[in-house]
Amino acid sequence: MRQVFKDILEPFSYLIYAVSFFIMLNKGLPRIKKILFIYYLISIPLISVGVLTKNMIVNHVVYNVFFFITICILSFYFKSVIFDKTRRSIINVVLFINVFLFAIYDLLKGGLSDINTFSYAVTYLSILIYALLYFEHLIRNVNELNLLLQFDFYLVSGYLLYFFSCFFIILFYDNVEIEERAVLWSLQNVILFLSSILTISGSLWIHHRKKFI
Amino acid sequence: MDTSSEEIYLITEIAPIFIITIFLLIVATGIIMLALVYQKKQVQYLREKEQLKVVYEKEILATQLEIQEQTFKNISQEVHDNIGQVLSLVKLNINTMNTNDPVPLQAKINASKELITKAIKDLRDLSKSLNTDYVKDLGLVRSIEYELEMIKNNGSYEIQFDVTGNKYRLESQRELVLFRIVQEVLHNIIKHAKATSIVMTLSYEPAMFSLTIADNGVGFDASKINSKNLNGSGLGIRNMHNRAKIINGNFNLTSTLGAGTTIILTAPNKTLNF
Repeated sequence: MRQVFKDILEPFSYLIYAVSFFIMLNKGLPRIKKILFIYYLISIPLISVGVLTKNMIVNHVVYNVFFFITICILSFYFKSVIFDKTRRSIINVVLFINVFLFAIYDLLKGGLSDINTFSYAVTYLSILIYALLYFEHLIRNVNELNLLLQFDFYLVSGYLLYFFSCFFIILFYDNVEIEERAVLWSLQNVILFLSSILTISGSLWIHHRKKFI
Repeated sequence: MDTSSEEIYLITEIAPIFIITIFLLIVATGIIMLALVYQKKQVQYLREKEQLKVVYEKEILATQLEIQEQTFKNISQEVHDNIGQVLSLVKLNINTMNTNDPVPLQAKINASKELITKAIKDLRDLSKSLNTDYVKDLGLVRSIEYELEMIKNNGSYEIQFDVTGNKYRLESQRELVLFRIVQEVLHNIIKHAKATSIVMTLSYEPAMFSLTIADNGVGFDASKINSKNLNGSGLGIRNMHNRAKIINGNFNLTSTLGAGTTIILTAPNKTLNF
């Protein structure tokens, strides 16, 4: 059972995310969300290679590259849903920090094949900041559209839950025995799965409601 | 499992899970709270929007009534000063016709024919303005042209009217408000400015529409109008200011004593959303 949580749940969750975007595709998704759809489609084989490989170097390289792609794509996604200049500048700064850390630790210092908990923590914290900026923007710019019919609300709520847990897990990560780390990864995967369920519930609900509007 | 290994197990495996679960529950509660706050703010937003819509519709109705009132005044003046005079002249011609003297008779018949043709044309023009939707039907430019023609017929003003850019129709209610502002400005010029010349320009830029009306009249101290002086003509100007606002426009008035007055009104070229 633990093996399922540790290995299969993660690519399966990305598949659910991809399906969520696929459901929303015919609802006139903007370009950035089509890119997110492709990102989730690519994530499935990429993460499968990462979790199924016995070679830890391959595993680390896959995850380092994957989270770098994630922060880049999510930065552009959040820039597309937040219209305020100041908040967009914050996203630019945060993205720059992440790119800088990736360039220094992973490319220049050759840390691509290691787990750098600091870089991971920064990435997770960055997405947490993005999600909080989105919610703050949402509450300041109320419109007539029902919140429960806004796909971004479900998506960002899922991101907030997942990256919040990721951030805490990475804080504990270095203090946990190697054998027990699998439990933390499993927990992270369960939360990713719950986030993907939240997102697909949102897209199904919107799809269902829009059929009757 | 002995006691110490059980403790280690609790610390290393259970504690992080427990802490993370607690925090996740807090985050989930936060999201639910946010959704509730959003719903509450949305209700307030929709209520305010509805109120704004009611105010807007009231203002449009008032504008329509004022245009009607102004139109009736114009018609009354036109009938009295122009058509009445023309028909009186025709009557005079008929009364003084002498059938025994064919040459002057023919001249009088021709003159009467011309006068009656003019009266018919004036009546036709007037009948157009009796249609309450004439601003909507004719469009802003043609309605303003008609208004200016009426003033020009008076003979006291030299009028210049220019339209620049590629003409487009604004939303009919916005054209109505703009037309009413033009009427009000022209009314003020006639009543107070003692001007001899009126220059009006409509500028149709892709993103912005602008209207400029300048006269060479006596001018006035604009600061008195701006300092919350709401009586007399000040109220009219404040009205124009407010009307410009309801169509998302900007009304700017400048006046110098002895050098005339200029008003510039700009409005974005986009549909109002209610």
